[in-house]
Amino acid sequence: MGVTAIIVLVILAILLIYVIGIYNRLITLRNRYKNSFAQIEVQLKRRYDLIPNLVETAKRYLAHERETLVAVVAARNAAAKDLQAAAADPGDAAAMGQLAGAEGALGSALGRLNVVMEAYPDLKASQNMQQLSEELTSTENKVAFARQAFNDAVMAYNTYKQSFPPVLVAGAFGHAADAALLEFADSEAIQAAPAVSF
Amino acid sequence: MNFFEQQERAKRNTSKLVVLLCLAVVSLVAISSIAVAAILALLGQRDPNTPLTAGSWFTQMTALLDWPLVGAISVLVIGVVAAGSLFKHFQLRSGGKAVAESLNGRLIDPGTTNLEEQKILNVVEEMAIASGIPVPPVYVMEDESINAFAAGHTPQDAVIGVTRGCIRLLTRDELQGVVAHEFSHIFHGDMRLNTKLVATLHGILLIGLVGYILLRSSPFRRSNAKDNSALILLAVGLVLIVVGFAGTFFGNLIKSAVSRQREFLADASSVQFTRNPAGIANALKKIGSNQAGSAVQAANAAEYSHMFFSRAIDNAFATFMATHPPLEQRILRLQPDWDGSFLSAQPESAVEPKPAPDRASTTLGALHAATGATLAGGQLPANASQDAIAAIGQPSAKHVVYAQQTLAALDPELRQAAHDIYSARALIYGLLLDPAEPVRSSQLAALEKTAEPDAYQYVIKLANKLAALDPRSRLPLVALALPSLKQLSSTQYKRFKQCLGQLILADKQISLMEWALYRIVVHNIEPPPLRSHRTALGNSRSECQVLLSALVHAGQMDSAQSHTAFDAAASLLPFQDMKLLPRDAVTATALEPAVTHLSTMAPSDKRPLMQALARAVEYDGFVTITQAELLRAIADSLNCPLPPLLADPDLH
Repeated sequence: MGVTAIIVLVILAILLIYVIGIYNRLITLRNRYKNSFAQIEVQLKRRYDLIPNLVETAKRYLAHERETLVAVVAARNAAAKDLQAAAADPGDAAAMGQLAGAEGALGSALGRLNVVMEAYPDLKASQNMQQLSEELTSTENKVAFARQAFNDAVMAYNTYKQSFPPVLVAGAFGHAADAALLEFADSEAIQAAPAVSF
Repeated sequence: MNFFEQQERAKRNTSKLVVLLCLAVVSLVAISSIAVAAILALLGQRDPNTPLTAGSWFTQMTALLDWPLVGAISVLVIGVVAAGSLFKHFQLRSGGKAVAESLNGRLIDPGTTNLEEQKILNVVEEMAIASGIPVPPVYVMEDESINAFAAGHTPQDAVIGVTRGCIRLLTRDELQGVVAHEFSHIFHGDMRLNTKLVATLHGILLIGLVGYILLRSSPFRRSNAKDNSALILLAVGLVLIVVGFAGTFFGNLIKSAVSRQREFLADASSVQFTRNPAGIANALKKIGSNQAGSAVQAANAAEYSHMFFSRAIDNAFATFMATHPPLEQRILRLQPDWDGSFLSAQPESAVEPKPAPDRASTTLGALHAATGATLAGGQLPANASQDAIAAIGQPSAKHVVYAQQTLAALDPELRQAAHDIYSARALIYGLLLDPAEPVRSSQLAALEKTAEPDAYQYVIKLANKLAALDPRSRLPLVALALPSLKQLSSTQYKRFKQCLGQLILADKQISLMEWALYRIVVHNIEPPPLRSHRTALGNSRSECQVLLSALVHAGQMDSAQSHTAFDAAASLLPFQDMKLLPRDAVTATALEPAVTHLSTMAPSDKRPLMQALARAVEYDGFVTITQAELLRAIADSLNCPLPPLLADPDLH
């Protein structure tokens, strides 16, 4: 019986090492996509910090458009809150969906503001406004870029997790659910950055 | 001792240690196999009716020892050790990043707005540019203790890790001392040694782990074993546990003894790089008074304990199991007249002071005078490259001052662009733009088509600043951009590389300058290829010929001068019939395989090659920027950290 037992043990040991390898790879990939969310967070935060300035500047010219401005601020605050929740657990489907929704709302609020501002050439021409819009455009581009990197990392994780043989053990190691991509409803629009194109 | 001898010695020591550890494993295998076989023989064959006496036990055992069984068990144990070591080896192959991630490190965003984080990034950048390695990514561990580590196989995949306490409680000078200490580990090849040790130890540890699993899975606890199989499993498990943990214990002893010596060396090198013993000594004194000391909380800290700046793990066997010499001893070696008092650690203001004027002002003045006089035409004086070769892996305080000065002189907008993952691509694109039309227009057209639209916008924005850039700042700028570029996702990197190719080929040819830039960027971002063979200098004649010819042609010599320069350089190499290749034979398609081939050489072979290359560069008394960049790209590919070429370096 000795030799058979030994062979079984050898196979067992190799199997064990292989499974440990899968486990570590899953952890690495998960850390990687969680870390790449930090990039999105940095850019979105910068964007949310810019918006109050934008509103402040616009307020002086848009005395009669209070509603639009209030809507922008509300959308911005909601998005900032959802960002916090999403950053706590990147890849969670609900949190990603919430953030995407809030970002969509903020985008359309900014779009409405943009339409309103068309009627105020002085505001459009003000240097402060031009600088703000330039910065806002560039953060939007950066968000899109960081989002691409995040989604790539999420895809790498999901693909590995669903492949064979990791699929056999992923669930047992606490990697049951796929990580969710961060897709903005108007992602095409954001890449073209129309929100504050003066 | 120079860089190449250090590397050579580190490699010899590493092989010696690995052989020793293998011997240890073999003896472990012998002991455990015989023990297991003896138990099996005893349990399997013993007649329960005869009473067991010591004498009969031994004769029974030797008589019944089943040699095929011993063999089988040896195979099992060797298999476990080999598999465990290989597994760890492959895990660590992915470089310093894997180590930092398993220690719960968080990558500091190069564009961070946190002042503390900016401080450590600046210190690391200065040291990297001073020593001529790509700027390593910096990870922070959220821990109140004061500690740091360096990990990775080569300068390309090296990372620096620091604890939060380290950047909060240390002054800039102290941080510089700590970072210089970590860089010294990179230059002395300690990281390769460390990874090999960790990998082998992991294999031995696994024996114990397998034993533990056997013990747990033994049916002994459940059934009233009819035969002896349960008992056998139990016995085998126990033996494996004892052997595995004893092996780990002695392995750790070896690891610690080696590590302690490396720490003294790194402390001494830190002083050599910064010329400031107070910096690192004060950092050590602060660890002494810090509440959390240097203990690191991360679960995997024990495995990597020897990679840290100071003791990361409290150990019961303090003196002979310690991975680091006692703090007091280290401080006394740095400051023999130390009075034994520690420094209290207060959070330091993170505001960046101007580069220390008291220490730097004299050298800075001299540097200004020297560089101002000789570098007017974007050229460097003779012997600059030879001096830089001598300083490989041993940057001096003057190199650090030069790096600080270069960084301070850099256009803030360009520096910021290099720190931003987003615009770092555009920066590299911009550096490849040809100053002359019509190539420039066709490059821009190609970029507009292939690159992301916003990257193209950035190139346009940065183009003027880049045109005004001091050519000597091109390489530091690339070095700054590398940590950002390393964060590109695979699809983003693919597109980036595609754009690089289009920019370079816009004029249907690859200039030496373009090749050098491309080589530096790609070599530092892509993981190193698997290498199975070693190259000897002796059979690399044609490769050396290509490199020397390229460097000669990158200069401004006429044909006769070129030939004498080439011959003078070639005389340093052990070949008889070296001939200067014609200018059009030295192309990227010849250079690329040549450096790839030569990069696997032993350090002792790299030294004469680097010296010959330096001779070729400086023969006519001038070093052109193309020559400097080419030399740097080659040194980079050969994993030799070549410091910036200085007019007046301070040599030891």
